Amino acid sequence: MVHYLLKRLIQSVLTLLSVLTIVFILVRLAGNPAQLMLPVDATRHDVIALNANLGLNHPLWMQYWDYLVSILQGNFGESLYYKQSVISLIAERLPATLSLAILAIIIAIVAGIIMGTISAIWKDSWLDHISTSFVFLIQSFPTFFIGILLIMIFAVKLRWFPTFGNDMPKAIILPALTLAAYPVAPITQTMRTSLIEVLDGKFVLAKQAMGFTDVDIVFNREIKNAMLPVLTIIGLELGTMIGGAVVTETVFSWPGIGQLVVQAVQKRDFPLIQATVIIISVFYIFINFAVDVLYFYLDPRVRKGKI
Amino acid sequence: MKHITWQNEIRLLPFAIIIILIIFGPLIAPFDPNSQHMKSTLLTPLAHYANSGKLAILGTDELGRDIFSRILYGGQLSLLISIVAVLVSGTIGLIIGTISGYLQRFTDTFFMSLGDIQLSIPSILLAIVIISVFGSGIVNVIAVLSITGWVSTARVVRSRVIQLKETDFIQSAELMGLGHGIIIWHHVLPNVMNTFITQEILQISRMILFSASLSYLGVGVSLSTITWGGMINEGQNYLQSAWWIATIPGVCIAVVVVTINLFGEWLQNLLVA
Repeated sequence: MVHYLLKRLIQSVLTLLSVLTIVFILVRLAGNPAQLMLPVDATRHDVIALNANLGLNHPLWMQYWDYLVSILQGNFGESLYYKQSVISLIAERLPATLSLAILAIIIAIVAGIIMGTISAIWKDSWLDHISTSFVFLIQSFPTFFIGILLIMIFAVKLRWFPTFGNDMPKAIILPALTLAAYPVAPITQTMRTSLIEVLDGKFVLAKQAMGFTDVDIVFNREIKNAMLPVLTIIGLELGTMIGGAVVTETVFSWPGIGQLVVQAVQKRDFPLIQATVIIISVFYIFINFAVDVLYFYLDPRVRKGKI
Repeated sequence: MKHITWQNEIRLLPFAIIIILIIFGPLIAPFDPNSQHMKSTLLTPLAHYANSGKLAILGTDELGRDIFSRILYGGQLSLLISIVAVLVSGTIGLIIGTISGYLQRFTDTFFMSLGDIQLSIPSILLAIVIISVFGSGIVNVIAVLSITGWVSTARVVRSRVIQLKETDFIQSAELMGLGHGIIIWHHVLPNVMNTFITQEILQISRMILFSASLSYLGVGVSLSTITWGGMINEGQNYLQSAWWIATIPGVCIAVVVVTINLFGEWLQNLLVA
């Protein structure tokens, strides 16, 4: 057990290191990082001063080392536009993004499991067709457009919800529904396939022979067996949701990290872009690690090292 | 292969119509997509222009620009970008997937870890970083889409190649002492093609959705270029008064994606099943 977890931990650390390296390389590929870090109207003198300050006159390996050390110390520098520490900016925005993402994943899991289960139990019925078509359709719309449709129907026409901002708790509903549109489709599909597979198994046949109905079987036992692949998908989808949050927050002017990063790009606020990307990747890597650990506890095959 | 009947082929009609509309879009477009008609702003779909009395099929926007014409121009660009990106990322994915699956061992571990690492940065963020470092523009958007797209193709191709390696005809070819290059070129690649082509058709719709998100966020091709995502972004300010400005391009994206996906499914039934 310790061996498996240790292996995954080392993998995660290596991945994180690679992300940091990619960001480091990208910034240097673009030319002088000092130029990126400074406002567009900076003078030559400013660039030289920052060069010395950032240690850009040192050899590359030393720069890389300094960069890693400063990030490990949580020193991401100062935002060019907001003139305050990047870390405090991100900390301010993080709760908004987290609450949005958590609500969205809850909606997606509940809706996906219900729809997938219904589809699997009554396979090829009209209920199954409706749920399958709904999933197909939702995947064909760009998610930001789903957000706009929701705004148009529920905020502009019906006036049930505000069109933007974070006037809680009403304001979170539409953005959370929009963000939930990303993971709901794969969760439903996986739940459906996985449950159909489990229901086709021999032990289920035995139970049916004993006179249990499909609904009994599903709710008493089999749903648990069908949940493992769903869990993997949920883990994977959390990553997509982080990306989705960037778009969703822009649609609804939701004051989270996603909106922060888009504004940072528009303002060419490079220290801020760099820090948000790194922090979001850290989250993503951590989530994946957590999902693996959870999987380890749920699936005896993983625990015994058979997969 | 399935027998081809006209009932089956009729489903290709929407796909063909969309392709024709997009290829010949600029020829069909009734107006210059950027010309402004100040007396005919925010016309509803099917209304008539104030000066010429011409029909505004899909209405006009806040500057009196013809939405139908803009849709045609924007559609051409999105499809062009997506197809080129799929060609590039598909080729990279095919090469890496084949080599990884065929050689396995170190090469496989190397490329697959590379893919895992890349997937640990959400694509949209990677796109944002690359665009913010290298600037916006069509070439950069295509590069970004290709970089984020190769992993899924490589994985699909790789697993198909691994399956193939177990088959008798590849193993006999190996026993006969044929070189890797010859086996890959004459025996592996032809058998990977069906899976590969189906995968790439579906990738086109993924690319359309992804590039629409980028242009909606304003980090895609330059802001002055007409894109469906950009049109939705501009139209969002007029949701209260003119719903059609944002809705029409959104529906167009969905229709194109649905059509391409259906075409992909059709092709999959034909080639793979």
